[in-house]
Amino acid sequence: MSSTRDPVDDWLDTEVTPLSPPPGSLALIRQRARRRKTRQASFIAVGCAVVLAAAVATPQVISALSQPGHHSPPVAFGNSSPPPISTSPSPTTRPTPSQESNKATQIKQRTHLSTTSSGTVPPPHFLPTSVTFAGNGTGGVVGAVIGQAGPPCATSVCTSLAGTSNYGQTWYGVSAPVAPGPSGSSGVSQLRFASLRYGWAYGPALYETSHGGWPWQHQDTYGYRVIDLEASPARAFAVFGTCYGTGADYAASCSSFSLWTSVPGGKTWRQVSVPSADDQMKSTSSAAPLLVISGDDTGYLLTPSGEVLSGPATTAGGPWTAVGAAKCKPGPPSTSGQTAQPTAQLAAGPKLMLACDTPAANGHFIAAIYNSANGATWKQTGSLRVKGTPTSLTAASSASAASGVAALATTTGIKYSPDGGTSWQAATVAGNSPAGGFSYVGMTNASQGVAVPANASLGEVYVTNDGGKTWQASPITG
Amino acid sequence: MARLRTSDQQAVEEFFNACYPRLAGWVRRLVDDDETAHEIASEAFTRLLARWSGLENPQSYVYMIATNLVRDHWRKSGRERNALRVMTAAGPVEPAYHPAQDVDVRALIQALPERLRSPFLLHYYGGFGLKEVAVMLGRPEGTIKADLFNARARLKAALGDARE
Repeated sequence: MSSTRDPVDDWLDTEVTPLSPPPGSLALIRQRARRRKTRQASFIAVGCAVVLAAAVATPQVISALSQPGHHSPPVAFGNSSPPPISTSPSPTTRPTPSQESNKATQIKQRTHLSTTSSGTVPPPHFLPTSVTFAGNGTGGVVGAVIGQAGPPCATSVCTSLAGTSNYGQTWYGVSAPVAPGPSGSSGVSQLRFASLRYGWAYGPALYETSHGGWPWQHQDTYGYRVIDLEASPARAFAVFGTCYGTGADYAASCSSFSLWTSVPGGKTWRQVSVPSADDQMKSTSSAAPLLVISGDDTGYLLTPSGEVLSGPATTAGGPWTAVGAAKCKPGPPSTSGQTAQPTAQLAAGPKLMLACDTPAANGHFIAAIYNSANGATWKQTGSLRVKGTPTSLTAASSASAASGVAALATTTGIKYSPDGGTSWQAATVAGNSPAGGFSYVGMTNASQGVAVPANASLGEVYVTNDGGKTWQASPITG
Repeated sequence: MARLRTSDQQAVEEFFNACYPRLAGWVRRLVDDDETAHEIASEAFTRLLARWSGLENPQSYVYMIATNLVRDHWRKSGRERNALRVMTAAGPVEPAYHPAQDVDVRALIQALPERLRSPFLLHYYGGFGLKEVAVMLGRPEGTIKADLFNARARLKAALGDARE
């Protein structure tokens, strides 16, 4: 035995001295817990009440659903109005004993993403905030949009989903997580699906589905807010943040970020092994990390300090390492899209693509476009001047152009590039670009893409089928 | 909102009486004062009780919450940076480490990366087994074992540096 005692053992061997609770502690804790539980439950209780009310109000509709040949039942808005009753729940959706108590409400919400339709329609006055497209397992794609249902849903739990199997030509209703819209540390506003089955609703809370919809399971984020999430069919990554923003600005006033991962269907998230300096990424100028996953199952993270981390997005996973420095740092997150600060956008197509935005005169920005094969070195391929603030960048591989296609959304419209970011042109938006422009743009492939207007009250997303050249409104209706 | 059933209330009380003193003592060793320790322990129990009926392992949950709250406390107070400055300023004549004082080891634990710090605190200090920590943190047991080894190695090296 060594004569030199391990100082760590010395410290660990020191017994913990119990600290008795002050008098009345348990009563106080119980009181605080009740208040907290009441606050949490009030959202759900109100939502359930509306579900029951809707069920009572629509008996004829529900009974009509059981009639042969009935193809277009009016259904409901996410959590607040019931989809048709499933008379024979599939094994994968059979409720656990703990869920049986909620059967009365949940059985009416068993709708899922489908390669055809769920047989329901989206809620009226849908206010979309996020859209996602993923492979449907048969070579095509399926899309889903999350948002808040408008009237008649008048509760705080109006989060709703709609799905599409024909790239936005028509939409159908899909069960949504029972959660309010984003407010401080609770609620959800964003959506990502890795496939027809596996998806996550997040921002700032986190819910997971392994069934393309109902049921959704709340996932523990250990007190963090989920700021960003990207998923490949094999693995999902999320940026967790310690943030203090209120209301819909849940991603504001963040002090630090960390990178977490889970697999589709996983019930827990674990922190990704990264260089120790990035274990808790400090936020500089309120900048938030940017996360993308490339087509070859490699994940990339642009940290607030401008460092690029990379790691495998495979089922096996693995540590992420620092691979280089980007040409610019992320800017502050802007839920309104209106910012005069330098910003950056990151996208993954045939290569990584980075837009570094610099404010220019008269409300314009100059966006310098860089490409990189692996995040280590960057080469400028183009630049463009845009009116308004750039908000979102996307890139996709193309059979006709080795460098792929790209699109940049701004607060005034959309620019697209048919040659990997070298040249840019203004896209034609049918009926003119919506006021406020777009908060998100994403190319699913070289021809198809989707954009989300900054103004959710329009009740529509925009789609392109020609590589970003023209965009048409796709109202979230049946 | 329905309150907890009587049987649940009894279970809560028993759990509180059995667990609070050690949890608060555990926190006390990681923060500077009794008041902060009680604040953190109380908040952890508040969050626990708000989710009591849905938890399989309340002890794991309350320690996990406390670990996060301690981390937040360290971050907010900026003690991590200050403690590190103390460590690096420690001269050769007066060793920074003294078994009777926790502050130096605590400062080093604060400076551990998050992925090493949480398993270290939960295993060595919270008394949870490798398997339990793996479940709590959602990582493989082998990873936890490696993290604990790495954490100890870093602490030992840092303590050695401080004593030289």
